Amino acid sequence: MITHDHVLALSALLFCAGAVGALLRRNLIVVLMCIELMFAAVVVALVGFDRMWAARAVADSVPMEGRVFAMIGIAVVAAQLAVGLAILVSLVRNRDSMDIEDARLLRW
Amino acid sequence: MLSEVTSSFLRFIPALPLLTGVLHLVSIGLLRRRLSARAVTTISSAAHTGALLLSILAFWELIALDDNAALVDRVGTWIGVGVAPSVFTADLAFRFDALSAIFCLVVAGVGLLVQVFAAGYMEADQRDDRGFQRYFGYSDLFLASMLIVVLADNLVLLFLGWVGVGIFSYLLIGFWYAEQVSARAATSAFVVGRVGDLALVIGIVLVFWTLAAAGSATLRLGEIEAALQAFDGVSFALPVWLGGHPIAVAVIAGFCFLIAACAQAAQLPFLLWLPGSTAAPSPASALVHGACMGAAGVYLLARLSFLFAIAPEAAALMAWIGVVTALLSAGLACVETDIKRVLAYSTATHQGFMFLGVGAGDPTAAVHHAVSHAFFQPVLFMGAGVVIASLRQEHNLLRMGNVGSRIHLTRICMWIALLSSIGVPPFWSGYFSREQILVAAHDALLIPLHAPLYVLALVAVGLLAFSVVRLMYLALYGETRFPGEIRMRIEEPEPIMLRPMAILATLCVLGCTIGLPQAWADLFPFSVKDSDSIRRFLAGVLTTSAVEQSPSSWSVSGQVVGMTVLGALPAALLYVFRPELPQKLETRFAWLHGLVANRFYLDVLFERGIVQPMLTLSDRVLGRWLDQRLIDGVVVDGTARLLQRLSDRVLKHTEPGTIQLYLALMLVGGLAMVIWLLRAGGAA
Repeated sequence: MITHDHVLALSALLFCAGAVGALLRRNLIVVLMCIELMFAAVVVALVGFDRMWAARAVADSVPMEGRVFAMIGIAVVAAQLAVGLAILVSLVRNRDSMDIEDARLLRW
Repeated sequence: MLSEVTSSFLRFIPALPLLTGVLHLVSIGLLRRRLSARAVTTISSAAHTGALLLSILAFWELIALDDNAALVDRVGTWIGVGVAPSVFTADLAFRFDALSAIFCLVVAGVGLLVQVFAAGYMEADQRDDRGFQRYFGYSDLFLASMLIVVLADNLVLLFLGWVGVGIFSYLLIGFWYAEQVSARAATSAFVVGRVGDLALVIGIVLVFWTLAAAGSATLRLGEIEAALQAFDGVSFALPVWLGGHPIAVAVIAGFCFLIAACAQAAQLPFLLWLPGSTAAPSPASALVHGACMGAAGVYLLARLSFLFAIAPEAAALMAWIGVVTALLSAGLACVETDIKRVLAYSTATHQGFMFLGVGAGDPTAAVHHAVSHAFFQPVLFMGAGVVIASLRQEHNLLRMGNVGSRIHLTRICMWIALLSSIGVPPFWSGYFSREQILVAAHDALLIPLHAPLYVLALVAVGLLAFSVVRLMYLALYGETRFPGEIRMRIEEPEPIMLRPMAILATLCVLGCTIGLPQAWADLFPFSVKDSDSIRRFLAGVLTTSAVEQSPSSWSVSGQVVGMTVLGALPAALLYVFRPELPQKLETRFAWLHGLVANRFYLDVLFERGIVQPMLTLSDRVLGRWLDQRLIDGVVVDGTARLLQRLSDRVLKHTEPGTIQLYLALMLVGGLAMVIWLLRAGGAA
């Protein structure tokens, strides 16, 4: 039986893996993927909580908001990722590098 | 306590000229379409006739009421502050009591006549195409402000009118704004006027503060007088280094109102804006300086005579300012060569006499003199205007002479006004009013500090007579001292200009009936009961604090007449029979002439003592040091430079541009927030 705690533990694990990867890896694509991972962790937690509420609810009115929000969230992240990838592509074209140390354009 | 009767048409007395004035200015300023001269004249004179008729109607109603009554027209609340029971309201309300009635009739009546004169005068003297309507716009609004001053029911509304008088006199003095002399004179008059406004505001605030502290927060004229005991014992202490004496608030407020009136009536510290103000067109001079502006100052003082009765120090100062101004400006008039400046100085002299009257405790005499002055002085200014215009804008008396033989009727009017001005006894209105003032000054002889007042005033009477008679002979008699070809072009002014002068000259003669002292009336073969009607009419409104009138004023009369003759005869002798003598005297007493001709070096004193230090202060200290160095240099530039350095040395290193550092900081911050929220939630 997968309990609520299991889901949250998975979510935390995913988030930590994503955070460590985003902070330490130097390849920009990997960093982007790690950020996606962190977001997936959040979505997992959302679905988990939704399950928890659904289990407690009366039978004839099962709330579906959590699952719906999770879908919307995934869609938004996909759109955001497209933008991120586009920036990445133009960065690679201009600098000929995928190293995050070379992407220091926000500097003074 | 005055009883008040509601009346609903008083508001139209100032509203009519206000409306036409605004109409004229909107027409030329916004719509850019000027009306024909005929339309302008018709509209304005209709408004002034309406105002005059309404004043007469109000006067009629006022007489029908019992003594001390007042008509009040409350249009609505203008300013309302506070919560009941401590409410203060300044209403848009007009009040018509005996004092207002006199000034309102004079302002509306003389105003109408001067406007009619101006219709003829300005028609001939148009230097720009909108000048005619512009003149009527300004002068209608000036008269409306003046009517607001004399009809205001509370001091706040009075202040509104007061400021209006200042603004529109500024515009009238600077009417020929393209000429630098006019522009400068207007500016100086305006600046002086603002000093007076400031003093008036302080005075009003002091009155309000005192009355509010005593629980009756009001600025209504009738109620201030009723609540006057609130001033008892209220005083400010001087700073210790000045001795620490307490000064009664009534005295301080009195000083403030006195300063305001001095600025308006060109009394001593502010005397010197007056000569420049003659740059105005002649009808404007007649209106502003003859009939109205000084009258506003005297009206304020007379209106507040109850305050000066409990502030003897302020009253004493007023009397002294009046006498010294009268003396100095009469002296200045004796050597001045600009015809309108001579008249301006004689105006200041007369207003000095009025101040003396209020200061010596007899405001009725001052009001009476203001009325007489409003009759004769405009005639003199109009006559001067006729002379100046016929000599192609020649102001210099020394280049006139013998003009009178071609303008007989103008000359007759001017003679009547002149005799009234210098106070030749039998019938001329100016005589009795000034005699009353001098009687009050004479009675004040008993007060030690006031002893010289009477003697100085007598000297001023003599000098005044000399200066005005000198003006007459230099301008209208003697040799012709201007180019001959102009001479044939001098002709009597048109009836539209002549008739107002004639009416005012008639008033100079008839005016004496309003204030004939009983002692004189008894001389008549037929019996005249209650001859001194203006005194009885004003008895309930004005507070007379003069020493009890001495039983016989005949000695005073004799001395005044004597001084007049003593002044007038030498002038006639010098300028008619021995025209070469003034020149010789001038060289003989060069130091004296130099002193007076240089205005007692008062100009220099003001220039060096006030204007130059002020300019230096503004330029060096306030301008270069305070503004440029401190505010611009330290505060503005300093802040910018500080931020620039801070960001260059410190702040920019917090932005290295490494994405992963930002990300780490974000995570740490988010984590810290989550932990803090969880802890706070656990604590709750």
